[in-house]
Amino acid sequence: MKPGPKRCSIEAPPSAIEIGDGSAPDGQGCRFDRTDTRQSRRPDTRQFGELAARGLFALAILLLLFGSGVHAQSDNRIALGANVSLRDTADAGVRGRDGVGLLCRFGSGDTGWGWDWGLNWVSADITRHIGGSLVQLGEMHLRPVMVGYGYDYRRGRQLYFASVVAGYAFVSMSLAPAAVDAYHDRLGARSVSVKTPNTLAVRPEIGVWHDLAEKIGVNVSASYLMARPLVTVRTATGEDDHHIRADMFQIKVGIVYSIF
Amino acid sequence: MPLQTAVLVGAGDVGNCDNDSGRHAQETGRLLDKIDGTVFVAGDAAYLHGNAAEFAGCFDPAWGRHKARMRPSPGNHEYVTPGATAYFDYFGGNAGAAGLGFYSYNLGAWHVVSLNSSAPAAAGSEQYVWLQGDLAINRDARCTLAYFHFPRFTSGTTRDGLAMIDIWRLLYNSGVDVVVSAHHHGYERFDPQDADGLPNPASGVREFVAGSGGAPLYPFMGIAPNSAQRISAYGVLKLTLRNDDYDWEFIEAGTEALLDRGTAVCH
Repeated sequence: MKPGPKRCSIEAPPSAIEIGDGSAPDGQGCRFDRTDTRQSRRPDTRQFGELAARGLFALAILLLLFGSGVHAQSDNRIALGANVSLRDTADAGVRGRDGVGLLCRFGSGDTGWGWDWGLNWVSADITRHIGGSLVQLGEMHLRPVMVGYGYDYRRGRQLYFASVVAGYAFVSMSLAPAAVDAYHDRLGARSVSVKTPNTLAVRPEIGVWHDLAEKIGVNVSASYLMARPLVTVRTATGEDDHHIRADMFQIKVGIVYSIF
Repeated sequence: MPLQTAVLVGAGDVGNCDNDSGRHAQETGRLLDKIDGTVFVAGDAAYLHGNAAEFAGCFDPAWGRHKARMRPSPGNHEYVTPGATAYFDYFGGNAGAAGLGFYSYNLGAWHVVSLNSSAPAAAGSEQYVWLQGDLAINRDARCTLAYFHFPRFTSGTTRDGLAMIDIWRLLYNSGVDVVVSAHHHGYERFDPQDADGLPNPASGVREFVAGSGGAPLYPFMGIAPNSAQRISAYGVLKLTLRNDDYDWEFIEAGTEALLDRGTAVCH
């Protein structure tokens, strides 16, 4: 078993992208993505499949172009790049948006166990029934801070990895005008407020790094973020609890270039 | 009487910083830049709580430069702040007497009434009694228009404005020609009808819903009786008021396209 952190995964909002380093020199990757789940832009299953297929096709092209007769990214210390995230959610009232994020990689990794950690930024448009009608409740922000453990397996120029991270998720929510109007129209509530206690989050992830060239590496990973925040809407007539299943499945495809 | 022409233009449901950073309210505000006349605000000027910060940060940058020619009406979001104090503070005398939210004025040859659908409006209420007197005093006006936030009729998700049914009956019985409301985020036009929603082309009230000022659009849920036009778009309603008739135009924000237009004669 290897001591120290091996891998970090950071997902940040576009306005707050920060480069952090929790990795040891043999660490593997550090991702900076925005996770934004919104009702109005949820891809259906077909769209999601098409996007995933396009991402994998692009990766296959890269492998064909660079996949033979080149050196591994074995001398890499820090590599920077970008990734594309394809996302879907488990709850029909929570919707996901695909996105582009920064991607970095520390070292090239080797077989063994190691610590992992991750930060996420999840935004979700929540719809719920209010007074018998389905309306947009508001936008929820979920910011989990997670640590865990993972295993890497080096086979030639591929490094396979699997990890589970868990932690505490900071939750906030802004009500939508439609929710305020719905509580007013259907329940007679003039003033509406919302309370969202923090919750726990867990994220298993599997993936692979492929060393395309001496300075180029590509990454494909799949993860499932689990979080079940509670939203309590307060009006003069009482409290209304909404249990939100903010689970999200993600596939990411990325490429990095060694700068050190 | 010499021919007088006046323009009343505006919308409700305007300043929402959370909706695409307020872009749509800014676009409807830019439409107002090109249209002279009096600007009505049919409620919910500033989201989400109608407080001073939202008026300053969300409504004022989009529509505030027209404040001197605005005649507003309060909506339910203004009353999320108790007493709608931020609304009355922001608009000052243009909103009528502080705390009441209902008043009237003349525009060209028309008599125009701005009402407060978040205040008691049943027969016998202070607002109802005031309206009775105001319409009686101005019974010689050839054409009359009223605006307030909650629509009596709508094809939207919001419940029909039963709170205003007594007011609507009074408006209808007094020969009012046009009512403009908002609350449903979109545009809708009804054919003339009475307070119970029965068609009356000769003496009915034509209702416009113009909750298209910048807050997120709501879907329509079917088609309400007498609904003649429904448009999910941001824009402003422009009414050109003449001595005996009027034109209406719904102008889309951004494109400036005329999505609905027409002319009608007063009763």
